[in-house]
Amino acid sequence: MTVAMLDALISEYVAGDLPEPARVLVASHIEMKPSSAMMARTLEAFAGESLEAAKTRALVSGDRCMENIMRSPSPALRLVQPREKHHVLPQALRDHLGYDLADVPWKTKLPGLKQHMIEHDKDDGSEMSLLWARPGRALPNHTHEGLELTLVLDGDFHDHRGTFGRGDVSVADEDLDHRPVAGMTKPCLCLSVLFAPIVLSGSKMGLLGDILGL
Amino acid sequence: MLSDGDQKDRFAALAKAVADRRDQLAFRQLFDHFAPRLNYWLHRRGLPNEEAEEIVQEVMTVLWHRAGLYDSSRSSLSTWLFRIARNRHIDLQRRQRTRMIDGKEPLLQIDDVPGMETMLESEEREAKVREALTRIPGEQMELVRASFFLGYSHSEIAACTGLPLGTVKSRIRLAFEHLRKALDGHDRLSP
Ligand SMILES: [Zn+2]
Ligand SMILES: [Zn+2]
Repeated sequence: MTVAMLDALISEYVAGDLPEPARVLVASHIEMKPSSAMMARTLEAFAGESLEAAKTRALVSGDRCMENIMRSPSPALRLVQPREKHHVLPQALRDHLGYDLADVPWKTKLPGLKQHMIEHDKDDGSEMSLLWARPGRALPNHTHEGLELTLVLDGDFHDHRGTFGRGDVSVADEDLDHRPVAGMTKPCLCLSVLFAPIVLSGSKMGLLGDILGL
Repeated sequence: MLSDGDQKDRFAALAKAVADRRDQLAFRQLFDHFAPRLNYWLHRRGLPNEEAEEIVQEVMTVLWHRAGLYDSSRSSLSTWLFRIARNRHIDLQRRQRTRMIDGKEPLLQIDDVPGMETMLESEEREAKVREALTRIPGEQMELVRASFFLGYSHSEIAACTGLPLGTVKSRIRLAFEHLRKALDGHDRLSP
């Protein structure tokens, strides 16, 4: 079930349809999970085939477009950097943050529980944050106002559904009531993305909600 | 009528002519094929004509100047162009959302799927990807195409096809499951 939701998210990622926080989370997950990277790569190839065979829509300004291209300077490109493997934070996340784990400005929320709010979008109500829990720390029982994606970056946590380890994504929604507990061996570090309920009525999130069967 | 494989080879050869000789006729053929299709896809994404055509122009400009970066062993030309268009579309949304007024253009990223460069040899990977795609029943992939590539909601697809909404959802889910199974084994092959 979780895999189906995850694949729906990966397909939205490949199509370029995810809001920025979810895009960063899925890109980070893909970096850590080769099986999901292959899934994304396959959907990209499928998109390529679909494009090759797609319907056409004539350009209003086709000739001018050709002329512009012939006169254009060579575009500036950012090329793929070889990814460094020793980082705890995936490159997609470091690129978004602009800093690495050592520089996260943590705030203590409860003993043994730290949070850094990366962004809180007042327009769409979405939240993106890093969470750190010491080994064995339980989060208070909670429900969710909207879709909650949690990517485990280090360590692991468990709730009544099972254990989530490095690279795993937990998908939770309004119907889930859970009490996550960090694993005993090491601290648990997670990236959390929350979609407030109001967002689900918008067109983009309506589509996501539709795909995820919400 | 060219087979799919021949068509892919022809596009790759045209891209090589653009890269090696800046062959305008070769570019014209690629432009005539891909520009109206990219335009259609961007239109399906909900972009107004002017913005869609601006992105088409940006994508084809990359092809004209930087065709040498395209590697036919890593993907088909259409997948490469799709990726550039997708990334350009994301950049456009980002610019509109942050209402960037400093006029600084973000650099265009021509990136592979993250982490991909460490996995398998590209030919081996491409073969695996293509084989997996051929194993999915056509009626399932058509629904995935409508939803993921063309951006129709599941309810819209149900209305168009006359299939019950539950059937649309379950066929799309099955298509993903089949793909996962067909690709299985890659976790073992990667470092
Ligand atoms: Zn939760
Ligand atoms: Zn089946």
